[in-house]
Amino acid sequence: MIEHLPVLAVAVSLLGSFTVVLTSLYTRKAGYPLSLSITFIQLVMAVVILMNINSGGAISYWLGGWRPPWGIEYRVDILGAYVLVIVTIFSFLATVYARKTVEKEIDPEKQPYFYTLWLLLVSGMAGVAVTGDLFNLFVFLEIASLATYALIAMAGKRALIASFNYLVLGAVGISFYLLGTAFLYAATGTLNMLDARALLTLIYDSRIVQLSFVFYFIGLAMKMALFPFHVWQPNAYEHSPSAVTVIISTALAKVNAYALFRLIFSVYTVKFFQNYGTIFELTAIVASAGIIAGSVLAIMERSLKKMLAYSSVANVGYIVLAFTLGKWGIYAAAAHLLNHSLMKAALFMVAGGFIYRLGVRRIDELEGLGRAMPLSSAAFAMAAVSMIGIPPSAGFVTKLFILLASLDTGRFVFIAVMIASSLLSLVYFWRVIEILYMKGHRERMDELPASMLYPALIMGVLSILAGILWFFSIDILDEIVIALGVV
Amino acid sequence: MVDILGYYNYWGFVILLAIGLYGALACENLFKKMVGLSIFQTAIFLLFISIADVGTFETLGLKSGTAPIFWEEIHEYRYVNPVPHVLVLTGIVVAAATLAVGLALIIRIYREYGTLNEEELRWEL
Repeated sequence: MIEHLPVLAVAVSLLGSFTVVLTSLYTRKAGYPLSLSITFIQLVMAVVILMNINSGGAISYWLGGWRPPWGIEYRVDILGAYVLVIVTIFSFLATVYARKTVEKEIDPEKQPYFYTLWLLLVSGMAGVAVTGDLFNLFVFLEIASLATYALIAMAGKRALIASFNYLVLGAVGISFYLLGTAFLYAATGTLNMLDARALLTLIYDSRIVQLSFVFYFIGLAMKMALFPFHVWQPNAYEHSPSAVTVIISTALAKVNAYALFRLIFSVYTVKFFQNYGTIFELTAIVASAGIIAGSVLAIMERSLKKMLAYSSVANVGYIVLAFTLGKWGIYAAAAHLLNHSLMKAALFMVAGGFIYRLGVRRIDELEGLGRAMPLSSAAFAMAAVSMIGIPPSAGFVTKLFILLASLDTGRFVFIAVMIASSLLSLVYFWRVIEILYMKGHRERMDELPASMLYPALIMGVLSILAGILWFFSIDILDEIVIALGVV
Repeated sequence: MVDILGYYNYWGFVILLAIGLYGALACENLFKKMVGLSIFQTAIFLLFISIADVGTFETLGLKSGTAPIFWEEIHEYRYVNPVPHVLVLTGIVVAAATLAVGLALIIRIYREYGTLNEEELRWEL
């Protein structure tokens, strides 16, 4: 049974998405309960996979029984299982959160189709986490992206333009990924990641191989909104339905970062980059520029959701920077995949909640809400404090690992980048906290509905306590580093 | 000269790639952007089809492009690797889906704003 779980984790939501369309012929109400139960089943499957991999190697599943270098292989190692758990946790919580916002923001006739696309998105993301095939990864990324374009556009009006801009840049990005695959296939003749890894060791010198990585990097950088390619992202986050912002800023952004993670460490491997240090140098410079630029743009932004979007640009920079910083960098990158999702989930859930209750989008309109909605504001404040990086919060864990990585590799300039970015994030998050708690006055009003409040509160509390939790579960990160063969 | 002309399909790939990328990113009309995107994707399919021809990459001394069904056959025989063709088939489906979503968005944008000019739409955001 256990060896079938990787494919089942993808298949349940894929089948579920079509089931929602069929049920919509009879009732409009089936979408939400179906999505909720399916994402929960996926979460259970992901946890079972993670528990079983802890005790040994990787789960390999041959689709259709074809042997791996030729057939498509689903291969879940500890990193894949870890990302699958992240994807399913945040998909589940975002689904819980989605109910009320969807009722308010989406036309009743279109609600079943919203959940259809929602499950399709979840299925695409789960697929990226489990697949061991480069072309299959492309297909799953495209499934997730196409569902996202349509989901963003469902908010109507401005969201249409935001969605179209995302579609053009996203499609160009994913085509660059395909171009990279073409070059890699031309050089190695294989699409299987494990096979490609072995074959590549002989031809690191080949220009075709080097170029293929550059294409992969550009493509995935466009998808995950790394600094110079981030232009689509703030508008897409700002105008999409609240629930969609939550899922794409947490799960989808991490899945794209994971794809690059997988390519760098499982396909090209660290040896390739040791031969061509300049690629890593350039990557680190681009990522550092992204960290600083994202933070500065966030300070200048007046809309709450756009400010959080620019903060995501900076945080994607952290993940990519961490890739280049050796063993401790992998600790930082892997931990930040979860940490950043925890914090951004709470922040975007509350930001969406303010829009739901009051229709306020600008930061200066939040005056007095700290007293008017204490629990919701507390969730926001906890995640904001964590973003700044006060121990023992989630943001602190990442920054600690990056500090260790910089000291270990002797590249002290990144410590300066990190401190600068922490100070900048102090500026832009403190501004929000100040307006929430210290300015203006409002009468006490109803908190957010329970289905929106509790996911946000759980994420907020977890992001504060993440440092303690990581202290007890650090062996997952140890195993990821060992499984990637970096040490 | 013959060498350069002999790679005509790769030249086609490069030229189409450049035209498509320019169209997708620089054109102001949203519909032209979609056309550019399609050309860009088609260029990549042309590359896939080109590398399916095994003779081209034998110089690397790799088993590249060996078709699974002919695994044990002699290598002098010139055949075409079927895998990239299958990939292109999947790629075309994906490209068609992207095009469909893009055009559907264009129709809704035109109904909403009455224009497809990127500059004019930028002020709406």
